[in-house]
Amino acid sequence: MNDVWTQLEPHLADVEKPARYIGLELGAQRPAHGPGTVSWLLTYPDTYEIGLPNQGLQILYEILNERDDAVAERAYAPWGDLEAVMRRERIPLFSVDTHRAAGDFDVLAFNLSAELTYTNLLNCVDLAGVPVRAAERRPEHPLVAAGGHCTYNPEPLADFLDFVVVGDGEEVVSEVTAVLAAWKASGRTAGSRAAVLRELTHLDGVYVPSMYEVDYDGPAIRAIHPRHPDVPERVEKRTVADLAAWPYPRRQLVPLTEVVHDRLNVEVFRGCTRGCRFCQAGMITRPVRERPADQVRTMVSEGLRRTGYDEVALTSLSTADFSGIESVVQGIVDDPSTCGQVSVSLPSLRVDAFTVGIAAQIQKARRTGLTFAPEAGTWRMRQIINKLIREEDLYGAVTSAFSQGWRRVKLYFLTGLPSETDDDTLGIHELARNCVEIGRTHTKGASVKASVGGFVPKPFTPFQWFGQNTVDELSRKIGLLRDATRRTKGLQLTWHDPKATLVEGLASRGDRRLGPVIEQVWRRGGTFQEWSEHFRLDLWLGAMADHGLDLEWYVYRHRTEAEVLPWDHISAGLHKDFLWQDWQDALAEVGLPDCRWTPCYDCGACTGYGIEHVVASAVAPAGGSQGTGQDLSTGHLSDTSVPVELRSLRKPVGASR
Amino acid sequence: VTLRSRQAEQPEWREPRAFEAAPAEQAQGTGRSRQAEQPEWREPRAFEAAPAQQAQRCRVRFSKLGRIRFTSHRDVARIWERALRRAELPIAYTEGYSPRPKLSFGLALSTGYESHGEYLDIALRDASGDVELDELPRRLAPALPEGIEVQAIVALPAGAESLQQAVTSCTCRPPSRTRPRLPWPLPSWS
Repeated sequence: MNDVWTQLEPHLADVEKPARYIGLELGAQRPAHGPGTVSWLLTYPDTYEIGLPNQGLQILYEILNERDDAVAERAYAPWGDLEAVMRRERIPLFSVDTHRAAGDFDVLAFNLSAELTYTNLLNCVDLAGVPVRAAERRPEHPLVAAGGHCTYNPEPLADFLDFVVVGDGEEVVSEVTAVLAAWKASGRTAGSRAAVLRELTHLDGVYVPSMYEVDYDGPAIRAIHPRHPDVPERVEKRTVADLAAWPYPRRQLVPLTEVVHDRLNVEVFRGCTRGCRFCQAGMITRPVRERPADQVRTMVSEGLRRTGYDEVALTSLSTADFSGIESVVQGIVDDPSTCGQVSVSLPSLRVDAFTVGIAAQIQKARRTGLTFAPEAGTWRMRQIINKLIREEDLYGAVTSAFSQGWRRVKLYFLTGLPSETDDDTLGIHELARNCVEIGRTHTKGASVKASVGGFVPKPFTPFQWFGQNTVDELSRKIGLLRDATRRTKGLQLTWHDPKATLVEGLASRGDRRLGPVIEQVWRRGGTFQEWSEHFRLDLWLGAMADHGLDLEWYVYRHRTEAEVLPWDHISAGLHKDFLWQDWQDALAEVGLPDCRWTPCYDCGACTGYGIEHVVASAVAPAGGSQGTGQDLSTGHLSDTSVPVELRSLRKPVGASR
Repeated sequence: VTLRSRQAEQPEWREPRAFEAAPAEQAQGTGRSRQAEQPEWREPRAFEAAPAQQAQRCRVRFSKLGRIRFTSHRDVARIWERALRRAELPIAYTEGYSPRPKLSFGLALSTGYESHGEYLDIALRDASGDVELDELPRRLAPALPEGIEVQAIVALPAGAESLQQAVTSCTCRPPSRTRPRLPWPLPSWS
C-alpha cells in the first residue's frame, strides 16, 4: 500500500486550509482493506468544505463500512495550491481517512450534485493516475462511478464513467458490491472489466454508458439502444420505499475545520409532490416518504449527544410539510438535556404565516433573517411554474416575520422562466418593494434581499422542453431589476452570473457529444467552474466551437414533443406524457394541486414501482399546500378577477397508456 | 458548581511561564496596568444587570500533536466547544442574543505547529452539581480528537489572572523539513 501521508505532510504547511486534507473527523473510519473486500473511494468533486457535509456520501460511507465485503473511504478535490504540489511531487489523489492512494481502490465513486463540477471529476480521476476516458482503462484501474441528482442525465459524462447509479443508493450499493466482490475474487483478469460492467447492467438503477449506442440524425438523436440483448432498454431509478428502514447517517461526521451546513442534519422526509414545474429534485424523488416522527426525535437527541453540535437541521424539500412538525420542533427546543442551547433550522421554509410561527418557536434568540422562495414575481408566473403562493400568503408571512422581531427577509426568485414578460420580471421588484414597506411599518431598519437566479431547464421536469433564455436576455432582465431596485431603499438585489447559467444549461440537457468539450475545458485548466473567480466562459465557448457544436441548439432551442431526448433511456418513473401534459398546462397557466392529499394524477412515480406516499397526516398542513386546503381564487391582490383553474383527476389510476 | 479533587497536590501541573514580558504589556496598557492607574473604573451598568454568575473556572493544559496540528486556532476552539458538550460538562454560556460557551484560550498557536503546552480556561455553570476534577481528563479523552490530549486540569481560585495575562512567553523550536515533528519528551521544557 502506498501511504501518501509521508509524501504529503511536508507540503501541508505551505497550502491554504491544510485541515481539509488530514481526516480525523469524529465518525471517520479506518477500515482494513483486504482481498475479500471491495474498496470504494467516495469522492466529492469539489472542496472539502462543500463536500464533507454531503449526506448521500455519508450514508453510503456507513452502509458500505458495515458490510463484511466492502470498505469505504472519502476523498475531496484538492484546491489549486495543493494540486500544483501534487502534480509537481507526483503525489496521487488520496483518501482523507487513511491517506491511501486513490488508484489502490476498486471503485472511485463520485457524487454529482452540480453540473459545474464535471471538470473537477475529470481532474480527480486524472490525479488518481487513472485514464480519464473509460475506454482507455485497463484491468488494474479502478472503476469510475457516479450517483446523485445530475446522473439523471449522465450523458455528458458518458465517455468518462464506467457505471452510474440512478436514484436512492441505500440498497443498490450493496448489490453492486456483491457483483464487484465476485469480480475481484476472480482476479480482475484482462477482458473481465467489460464482463463485470455488463453484469452490472442487470441491476435495477445501474446504467453503464458504454453498453448503449446513440444514433444521430444530423444534430438530433434518432435512437438510443442497448448494444447487447441482455442490457435493458431503459434504466429505472431506485427508490427506497421505507425511509424508516434506513436511519442513516447514524454517526454523522463532525469535521475539525469549518464546512458548509456545519450542524447535525436529520432527513425528515424524501421526495416532494408540490409539483413545482421548475424543480428537478421534486420531480425525480417522488413519492413522499416521511420518516416516523419518533425516529426523527431519536436521531436528533442521539445525534446531538454524540456530535456535540448545538444546531440541528431538519432536512427535506419542504420541511414545514412534515406531519407533526410542530411537536417535533417543540420537543427538540424543550428537551431539558440540551439546556435550551440547541437551535433548530428548517432549510426549506414554506411561504405562509404558519411557517413563520414555527420559525418563531425555534429562533427565540438570533432573529436576524428569514428566507422565503416565492420564485416568481407575478401570480400568472407562479401559476405557470406551479408555485401556488398567493401574494397575501407572502405578505402574511412577511408581516408575521417583521412583527415578531425579524429585521431581514431574503427572497429567492428565478428569472428566464417560460413565457416570462418584462412585467413578470418587474413583478419581482414590486413584490420585494411591498415587503420592504411592510417591514418599515414594524421596524425602521427593515431590509429585504432579493436573490435572482437564471432559470436552467432540467431533465425530468415539465420544463425539459423549454429553450433557456440567452445570456443577453438574462442580463437584460437582471438589468431591468437593477434599475428598478436602485431607487428602492432597504431593498438589495443579488444575482447569479448568467454566463454560469449558460454552462449549467449546456451540461444539464447535453448529450454524450459534449464529452470532448468537457475534456478540453478540463485540459485547459477549467476546474472549480462553480467558483466565480475560476469560471472561464471562454474555455467553454472555445471548446464548443472546436468540436463544431452549436450552443444555441443545445441550450436556447425549444424541444418538440416527438424529439428523442438524450436521457430517454433513463427513467425517473415519470411518464413522459404526464410531463408533456404538465408542460402544456403550464403554458395555459393552469395550476396543479399537491397530490399528497388529492387524487392521483398517475405521474408514474408510485404506480410504476408499486410504491406509495408515506405520509402520517391524512390532511394537508395548516396553511395548505399548492391548492389543497387553500382558496386560490385571489392570487394577485390588485386583480382579484384572475381565475385559477385547478385541474382535478386527469386520468383514472391504472388507466392503460 | 464545586470542583473537587481527591489529590492533595497536583504534581503534573506546571504554571505557565513566569511574567517575563511584562514591560511590553504595561506599555500597551493591558487590564492590569489600567486597573492600577484608574482605580475608579467601573464596568458599564448593562453588564451588571444580569445576576453575576459565580462561575467556577478551571484551567486545562493540553497537547496538540500529529496530523491535527494542521487545524487552526479557531478550529481548536470549535473542537473544544463540541468536546465539552459531548462530555456533558456543565459549561457556562455568555448572556445575550447568541450565547457562546465561556472558554478562553492562551496565545494562538500558528497552524501547522505542534504543542506540548496549550492552555484553556473553562467556566462551569453554577448550581449544576459537583464535578470531579480528577475524572475530567478521562471524561474528556473520548470526546477529543486524536492528537489533542488533556495533560492536567486545575481549579482556578476566584480572581486568578486570565490566560491572556498569565501566559507571557513560550518556548518554540523552529520547524524542520526533515523532521517535522517535535521530539518527545521535549528536552528544553523547563
